[in-house]
This record gives sequence, structure tokens and C-alpha cells, in this order.
Amino acid sequence: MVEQGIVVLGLPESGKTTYLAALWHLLQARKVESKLKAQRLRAGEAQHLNEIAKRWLAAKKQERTFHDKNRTVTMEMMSVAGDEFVLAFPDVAGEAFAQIWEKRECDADVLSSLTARGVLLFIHATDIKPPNWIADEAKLNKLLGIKRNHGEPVPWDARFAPTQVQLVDLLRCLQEPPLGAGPRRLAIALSAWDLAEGDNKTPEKYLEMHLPLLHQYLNHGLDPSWVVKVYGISAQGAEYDGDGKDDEPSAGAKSMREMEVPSERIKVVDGKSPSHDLTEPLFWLLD
Amino acid sequence: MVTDPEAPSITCSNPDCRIAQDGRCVEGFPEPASCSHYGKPMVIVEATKPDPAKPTPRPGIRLPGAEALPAAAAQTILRDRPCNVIALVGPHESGKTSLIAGVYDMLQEDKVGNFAFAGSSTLHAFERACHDARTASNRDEPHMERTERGPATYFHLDLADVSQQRKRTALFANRDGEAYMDTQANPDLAMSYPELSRCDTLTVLADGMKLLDDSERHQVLNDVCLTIRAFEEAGQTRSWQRLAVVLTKIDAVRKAENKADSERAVRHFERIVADVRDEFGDKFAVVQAFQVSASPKGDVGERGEGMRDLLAYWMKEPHRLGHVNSNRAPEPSVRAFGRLRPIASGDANG
Repeated sequence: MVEQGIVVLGLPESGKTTYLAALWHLLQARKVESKLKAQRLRAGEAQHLNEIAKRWLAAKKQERTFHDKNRTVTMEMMSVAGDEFVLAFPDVAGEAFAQIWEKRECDADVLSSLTARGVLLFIHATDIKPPNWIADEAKLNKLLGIKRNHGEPVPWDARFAPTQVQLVDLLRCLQEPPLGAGPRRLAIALSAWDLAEGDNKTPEKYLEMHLPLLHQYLNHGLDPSWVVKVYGISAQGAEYDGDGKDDEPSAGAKSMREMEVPSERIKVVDGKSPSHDLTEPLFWLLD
Repeated sequence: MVTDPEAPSITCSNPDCRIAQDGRCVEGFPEPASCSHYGKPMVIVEATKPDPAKPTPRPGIRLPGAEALPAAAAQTILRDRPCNVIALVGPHESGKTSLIAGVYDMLQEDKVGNFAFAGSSTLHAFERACHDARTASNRDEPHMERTERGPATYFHLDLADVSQQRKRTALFANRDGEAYMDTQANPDLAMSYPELSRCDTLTVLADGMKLLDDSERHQVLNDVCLTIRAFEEAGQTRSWQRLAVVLTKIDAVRKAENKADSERAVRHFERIVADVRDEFGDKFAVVQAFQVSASPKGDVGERGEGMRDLLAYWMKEPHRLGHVNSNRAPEPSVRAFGRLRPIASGDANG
């Protein structure tokens, strides 16, 4: 069977694990229409997939430790046209991403994954680190009558960089040796879209407003052989419950559990009519 | 064979040498005492056992760097694509790095005029330069790190001119201010600063804070004029270059407690520009003045004020190219050998 590769990337806690959990449930449950379908229950990292899907069904937050290493999930799939293939889904841990930006290196075992033709890049829509300027803050503080006490100056560290700068650098690295692999398809998934869609913007417009440097780079800097599409993805539908003793049960999680068809918690937006089909970005990447 | 227990034992520090057994020096010395290892005890280093619980980290695969570029790397970019080189000249703390970081920081929010961000291979360098003007630094007012002494390094920005649908690279040369000021006493120093003769825009800074200060105001004029004169004496200016005379920290000038001080500082800057035009107007293709506030301190002034016009000036089609293109093609030689020379030396037009 032909193997198709898509690499899943994103900063730590950008929604990769939740997406995989919801995707696995959607493929197994077969309750909503999807462009890709799972052929078999067997999968690479099936136990991991089942564990995260179980938590997703219970509307519980994914544990951080579920995503502390690089994994390659494989699923045997079939497209609506009847083409059968194995989808290899290298799920690169956020730490590998930080290593690329901060240390300018990547592990040899991650290298081959990063040369996949399809790139699914996750960005948490409401957890974007902006570049905040002292001059702007001073103005705002004056307006609000706030006096901020400053401690010792903190020396520069690469991890302070705004989200959009780190993402631009990642895309640059994916176009140059040793990670460069020629023309690619890039699907940008703005995760937790349910928290962002109140702005009434398309995902692309939202990206332009909140990540303007990245937006400029996608339009003017990216190799013209690359094709880009921006999706808003809500794989949870609401805030899920935490595991901690002191965590209050979330009303949103309760409402999600009450839904008759769990797959309908999912929302995928690409500027056209929304759907529950989480395979849409994958289908587009494989085109 | 019986060994004499009284005989002195032969020692050698080379673990490969068997002189004690076969009497031969492995290094080949006929007289073993000549060998530096002979007679020395062998040092036995106990092998360290690998700790299975602690895996040895494998070195990662190197990815493209993100620091400011040395001249050789900047040269590669220059050869590779349309490029504008910008040299920034001024004393320490006059705001050179602030201007470079200011352009990059404005792109974080939107296009700057017609220019959109199209990439950079020096993102760590930009981020480091911007850090002390950002809240992550925990400072109460913007600050700029002093540029270290040493050769010039280059900040790289790819910019797309959206009005003309074309891309152009900006290379900002960054050298410590004192190195440039030293040329006033020794113009020959400028000959070892390649960015001066190669730049498309020579940008000379006049520090607004100093223009407010009676004791420093006249020195600003001296610094601007004497530095350009030193570069000219050293043969490092070119007639196709643009000259930008930039009043930095205009926010501080406006913020002055006494309005008269503020107006006097601006008037003094205008006199500097007039003097520069008088003395050097015919040495450069264009001379233009700018007033900017790249990173204002306190709550007065717009961040990036004046930078849009300055960037547009920096990114204009270089006169260097017009200069080259305006060269008349040499008349073809009548003799065949003469016709080959321009091609062989790379001087041929077209």
C-alpha cells in the first residue's frame, strides 16, 4: 500500500494531541461525513491513540506527558475516491520545535519526518505570544494610571521571541538544507478556534490580524512552489476538565459530554461553510 | 630464562611500546634514552563505564544559523539577489542599532509603507537587538546593547515592495560607533571598513539627546562633518551613493522641558544638514535629512516615527546600478584579440 506522509508541527500545547485524539475518535466512530476514512482499527501507536481518544471522549484535558516525545502514528486510510493508503503521521513534540529555534539543530530521527511533503502546522489561536514594547506599555500605563514596578533586567533568551518569529524561522528552515524538500503543501491549523471565532473573521484574516509578520512572510517570503491554506479547528468544542483535585468541573465539558454524537463537538472552518470533518486538512495536504 | 631480580625494570609511558619485553623502542630510537617516553611510568586511566540510565546525548544536525552575518556570508547574499547595503554611522549610543531593530519591530505589526517582510536569516540577531525595548527584558525604559568592537556584521531583511511586486534585500552593516569616530583622527582606518565604499546609502546619525545639551551640541556637528570628511579623504565614498542625515531620538527633543531648547535642537540639526549639503552635496548622488524616533523612551512620541520614509529611501533602486548602466559600451576593437579582452576581464556591458 502506498505510504503518504504528513508531518504535524507546532509549539508545545498548540493543540496537536487534541487534534489526533479527536481525529482517531472521528475515524473510528464513523458518525459524521469525512473525506478520508479509516480502513482498519490497527494503527501505529494504536495504544497511544486509544488513550488520548478516551480522554477526549470524557472531555478531559490531554496530559502534558502524552506529548513529550516524537511519535509516528500510522493509519490505514481510504479516500472518498476509493484510493487506499497508509497515512504516516510523524507527530513531532513541541520540544523538538524549540530545539530548532533556540539551538539551531534537530535530532537525526526527526529530520526525515520534517521532509514530508505535507506540513500540518498547529498554532493555538488564543495563546499567541506577541512582541510587547516598553514604549507602548508606558503609554497604556499612563492612560490607566498604573505604575509598574520593574525588577532586575532580564538578559535575552531565544525563547522570549514572539510566536510569529519562531514560526517564520521554522518555515525558513523547512525550505533550506538539510530540511528543504522542494515544493510542499502547508496547512495552518488555528486550534481552539471556538475561542477565536467570536471575532467573526475567517481563519486567514484572523492570522493576518494576530500574526502579521507570519502573514506577510506567507504571502511574500515563502517559496512560490509552496501552497498554503489556513484552517480554524476546534477539536474540543469547549474548555475540558482538568485532572487536578482543585480543578473545578467545566460547564463546557459537561455540555460536550451531553452531545449525542461526540464527533459533532468538532468544527473545521476554512472560509467556507464549517464542517465536523477533521480529515479535511489532511485530504487537502494529500491532494 | 632467568631474570635478574636486582636488574632495574624498564619502563615506558607509551602503552604501545614493548621495550621491556623485546628491547626495541616502538618510536624507532636506536638509543632508547633519547625517546621522550622512555623511563617514564605508564599512566593507566581507568575506562569509564557508560551509565545505562543516562544515555549520551547525540549531537543534533546543524540547521541554518540566525545570528548577524559576517562579511563573507553577506557577500554571498549580495551575489545572489538584488540587494541594498545600508551603512549606519554615528557615535556610541546615537541610535544605530535602534534604527535597525526599529524597522524589524515595525514589521512585527504590519507592512512599513510599501514594504512587507519576506524573510531574514538573522532572526536571533534582530530579536537580541530588540529585546531591551520589549517588556520581556523587564526594563522600565528601552535600552540598546552596545555593539561589540570588531569587524562589521550584517543584519539581513528580505523585503517585498508590494506596489511594484518585487523583492529586494536590505543588508544593514553594524559596527561599533567608536570605530567610525576614530577615523576623524586617522582617516586611513576607514579604508579597512568595506561597508563604507560598498553601501548604497551612507546613513549618518545626529543624536537628538546631545543636540539638547549645550555642552555637546557643537560636537554633534563636528562628528557628522568630520566623519564624512574622513571617509572621503580615505577614498571610501562614491558619487553614486545616497547620504541620509538622520536626527535620532526626536521624541526626546520634543519632550524637552523647555520648548525653546527643543526648537533650538531642531534648528541646530537643520544647520548640520545645510553644512553637509554645502560641503558634500556634490560628492553624493542625493543628500536627504530625516527625523526619527525608533524606540521612544517614556510615553511621548510614536514608536517608529519617521522610519517609514527612511526605509523607503534606503530601499530605492541603487544609483550604483544606474551608474553602471549609464556607462557607454566600449567601442568594439578592430582586432580580434582586442574584442576578447572586455569579456575575459568581466568588464563587458550587458
